Amino acid sequence: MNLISNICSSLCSSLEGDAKNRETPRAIDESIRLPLLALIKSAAIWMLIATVFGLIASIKLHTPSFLNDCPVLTYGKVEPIFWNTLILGWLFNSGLACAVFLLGRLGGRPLGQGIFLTIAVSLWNTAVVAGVIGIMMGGQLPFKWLEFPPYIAPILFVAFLAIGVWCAMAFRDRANRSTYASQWWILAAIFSFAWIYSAAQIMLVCAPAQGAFQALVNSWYVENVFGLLIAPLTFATIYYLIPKTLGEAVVGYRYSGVAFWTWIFFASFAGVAKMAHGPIPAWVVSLGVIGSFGLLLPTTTLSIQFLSSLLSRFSKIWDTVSARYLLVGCVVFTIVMLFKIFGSLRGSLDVVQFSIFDSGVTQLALFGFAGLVFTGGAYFILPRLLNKQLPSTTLIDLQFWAQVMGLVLISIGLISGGIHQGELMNGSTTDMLVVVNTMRASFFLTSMGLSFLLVGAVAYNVTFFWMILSGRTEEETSTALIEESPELEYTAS
Amino acid sequence: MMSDESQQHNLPGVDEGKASDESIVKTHARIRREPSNGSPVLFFTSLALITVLVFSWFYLRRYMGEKEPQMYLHEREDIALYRDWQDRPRGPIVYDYYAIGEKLYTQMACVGCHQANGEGLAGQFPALAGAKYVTHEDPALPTKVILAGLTGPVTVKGNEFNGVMVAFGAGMTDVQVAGIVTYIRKNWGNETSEVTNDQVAAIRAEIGTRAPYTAAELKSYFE
Repeated sequence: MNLISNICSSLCSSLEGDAKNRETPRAIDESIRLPLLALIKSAAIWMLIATVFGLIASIKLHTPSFLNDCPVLTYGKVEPIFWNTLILGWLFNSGLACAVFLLGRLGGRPLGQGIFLTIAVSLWNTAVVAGVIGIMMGGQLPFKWLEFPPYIAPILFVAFLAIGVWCAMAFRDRANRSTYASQWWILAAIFSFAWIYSAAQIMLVCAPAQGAFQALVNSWYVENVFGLLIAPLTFATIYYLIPKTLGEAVVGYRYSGVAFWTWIFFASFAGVAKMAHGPIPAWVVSLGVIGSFGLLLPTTTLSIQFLSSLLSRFSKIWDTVSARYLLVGCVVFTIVMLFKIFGSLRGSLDVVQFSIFDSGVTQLALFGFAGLVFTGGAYFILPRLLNKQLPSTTLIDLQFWAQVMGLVLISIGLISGGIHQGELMNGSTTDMLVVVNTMRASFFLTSMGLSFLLVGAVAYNVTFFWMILSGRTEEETSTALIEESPELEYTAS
Repeated sequence: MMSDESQQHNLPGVDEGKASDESIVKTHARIRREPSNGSPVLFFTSLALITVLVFSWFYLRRYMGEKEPQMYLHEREDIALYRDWQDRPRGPIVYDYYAIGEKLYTQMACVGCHQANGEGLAGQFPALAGAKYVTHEDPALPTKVILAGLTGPVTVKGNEFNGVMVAFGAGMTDVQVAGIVTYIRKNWGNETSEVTNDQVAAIRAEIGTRAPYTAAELKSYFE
């Protein structure tokens, strides 16, 4: 009984204490509490599921007999389940949680139709569950990151449209007429995902393109899921959390517009570069390489903005949970983009194209960049949403360091392992079995890394459910924990 | 207010908001509006822009590829190799007619009647070895028989035959017909000239599509 009342108080908290100062922020948080909790809860659970499947897939690579009696857990099913739950489950939910929070807070007005958003989100998550079951039953499609059976796609798309319409309405209803970079990135993510998902589904499933063109569309979609959905939501979160947790304007904010448009432009065709040496015209690949290399421009701007903002306040960062995640996320962003940019040149692809390098860079980008930033965002949002403290900073420290350790191990295992693998395979005299045996150590490192990430995922879930289920302390019931924030000073730059 | 705030700062489980949402929007909007006098971000962004432009220019010049059909090749050496291969000197095609005919003789129906030793079957199918129709100095004679067939009574090496040979050659290419004719004219002790595909083409054009020959029609060759 106690537990139930705790959950109820988490869902609709009323404060007797003086909360006049935060009337509007409190009202905003109140209006989106239900969808936000639904999103963060789903994100936490999907994070656990995705990491478990990733770990199983990774273990199978160095110990093929692992779980080989189980027909629903063959490598061919576990691997796509891992990627799909990672992206459509964890990152989508946690990124959207941050986006919804930002839309409300930056808009400066309580948002309506929270129930509508909650239903749309539930529909989305139900579709993802159905898709995972569909893959387990053997109904998967052969396209990377679009493996869900064909009947799942319309449900996902409708759910996404509902979510997108809600976000667009939330943006339209804002009270602050000026816009902030976070809002541009969120809108860009919403509109581009509707575009790339429908385009990819139509060209691959509804009216399939012929021959090599399918692979081209697929690689375009895969790169754009990162470039036009996950990364924009992450940038939005970073842009918001930097001034919020450091109390300083973003360094060089003037150039955010340049970074935004060049990123959208170049990212939209960068994925084609992966088809180098394939049976498609050389100029298509060359354009893809230009798209990839063009990302150097927004990457430079964004990296300098983020890192110099964060490093100028380095001493403050370690006291603030979310800023710590932000810092590591931004460092990983710079590293990942350098790998992506220089890994897509023809000379690099000669070595790494058919190795585990690409999988390593993608995992680093998703777990390390987006995953960490969204986690930081959730830790910023949760206390405000529930008016409770984070229950245990030790647990959060554990999660943080486990995730950082995991990322280091995965990077060493897959990225440097991938380069080594590519070099070995290019030496045509090398026996294939020698290559496979050499890769064992890399796969083992990756499994260790994913185990660390699993520890992090468990810690995150424990923190979240502990927070939801625990009762309020005396202090938490009587007062608003969150003080009104001071004004951000304008400093001429 | 201040004392409250300093107390709040020590809450380990809550990240303090150090800027209000409205001021974040307004201050940053102002930063975008107001003129600026350069910053490291501008410098490095410009540097990156120049790098990207220069790279794109040279990369596209280097790797824009070619038009059909070598549009899939991107390395200059590969394209040059392909061009060299296309422009390679091409002499006349030389066929080994005997080898072609040897293969066809067993693949087609020939061997069934005329036998592997070219002796035919006594009383049913005439021999090819030493037959005057085969070894005639003008190769047009056996070529015509293969192209259009032979029917009715015929005398080969003193034996009377009365059968039908259908127009096997009508369905074969010139090279194939030339191969077969050459083979039977040079095998089993026959030592006569070979025939080329051009000759076969000329003969084929000359006789057109017609009914099988009779021995009487071919009589002119032996006068």
